[in-house]
Amino acid sequence: MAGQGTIDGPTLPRSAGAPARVFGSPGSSPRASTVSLLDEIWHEALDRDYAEAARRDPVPAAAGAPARRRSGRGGLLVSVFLVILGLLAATAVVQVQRRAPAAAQTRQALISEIDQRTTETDGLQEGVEALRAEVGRVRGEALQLSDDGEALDEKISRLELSTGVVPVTGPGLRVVIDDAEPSGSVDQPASGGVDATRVLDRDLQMLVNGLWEAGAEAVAINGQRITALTAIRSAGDAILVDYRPLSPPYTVEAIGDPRALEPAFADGAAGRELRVVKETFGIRFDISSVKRLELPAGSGATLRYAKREVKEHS
Amino acid sequence: MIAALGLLIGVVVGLLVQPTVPFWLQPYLPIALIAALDAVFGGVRALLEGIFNDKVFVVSFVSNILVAALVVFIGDQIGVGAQLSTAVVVVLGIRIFSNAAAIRRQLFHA
Repeated sequence: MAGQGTIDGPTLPRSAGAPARVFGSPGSSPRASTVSLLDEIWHEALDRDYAEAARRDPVPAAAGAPARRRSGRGGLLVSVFLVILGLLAATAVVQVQRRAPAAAQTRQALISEIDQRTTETDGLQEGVEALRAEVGRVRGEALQLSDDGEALDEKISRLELSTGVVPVTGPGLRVVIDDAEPSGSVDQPASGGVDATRVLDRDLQMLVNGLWEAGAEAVAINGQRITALTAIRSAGDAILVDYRPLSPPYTVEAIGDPRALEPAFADGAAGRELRVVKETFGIRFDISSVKRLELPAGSGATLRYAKREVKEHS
Repeated sequence: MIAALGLLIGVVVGLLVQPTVPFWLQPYLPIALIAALDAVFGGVRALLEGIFNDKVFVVSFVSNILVAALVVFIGDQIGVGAQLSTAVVVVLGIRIFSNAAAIRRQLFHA
């Protein structure tokens, strides 16, 4: 710009300057008086060129008639640029507002798709369970026909029970675990991405492992039966059990000896860990004994690639 | 007065027409707006101090927008676009505040 290089030029409108300056010594050189970049930005907020132009050509400010003549053409120019400014502002606002609903729409569409697919999967799962029960019934009938068959049938139902492919019922423990109260009073790591005030997949893993360790015979989370093939993992913010997204609070139900299960769990490593998590991050959990629990069948019973060794079948 | 009318016309036209901004230009729009606002606040201050000059205003308006957009563009190319936009907004924001303070003083004390 024109006045940028000249040291001796008036840096600020001295004529109007005194009230406009709060601090900084007006007498000394402007370069010396600027203690920091921010000061400089603050004090030289007005383009120097205004003062420069006014010094070079003081006519319009002084006399009335020429100023009027100038403002006719110049005013038009300024107006044109203010129209541009208005356009810019309106466009920017419109742009932002247009983008927000689009994002919300995408989100909504995704949510409804998730809901729809989950319902579909639920339906299919129900179908699978019905068919499986049917298969079991028919197989049982067929096996009843011979003595060998009867023994086999018994063996099969025992295995079904322990592998978790049939619904089971019995006394046990119910653990309800939930995210911390969203008050924000608990310390949480600002960075790192993992919000420790939420229940994490590893909390659930620890909980389930603790229950197995304490002697549980069947475990389910939010109605998803845990079998040997069930994974507990997280995808984004959601916890997947058996590849199905769950939402808090998580209800973990375990069937086992009602008197032994609770103390064994509470005194085990998992129980201690849970108490630490509760005290540190405010994760809420509640353990209660239940006389009769009903756990559904697990889903992943079909092995496609794992084959039994031939000679083992005797 | 005409100028304020121009601003109003611009806003109304912008809201009515709702021009579609090309995708590559979208990140520069807010920056350009801030830069233009800075020029306008400077202009108003100069007007109140009696040294307004339309040529200077137009030059500062255009150069402000171009420089701000250029800085952000370069930042985008070298991967610090977001940080440089912040820098531009901070610097121009300080200038706007400073000029607004000067305008306030002119209006209420002079």
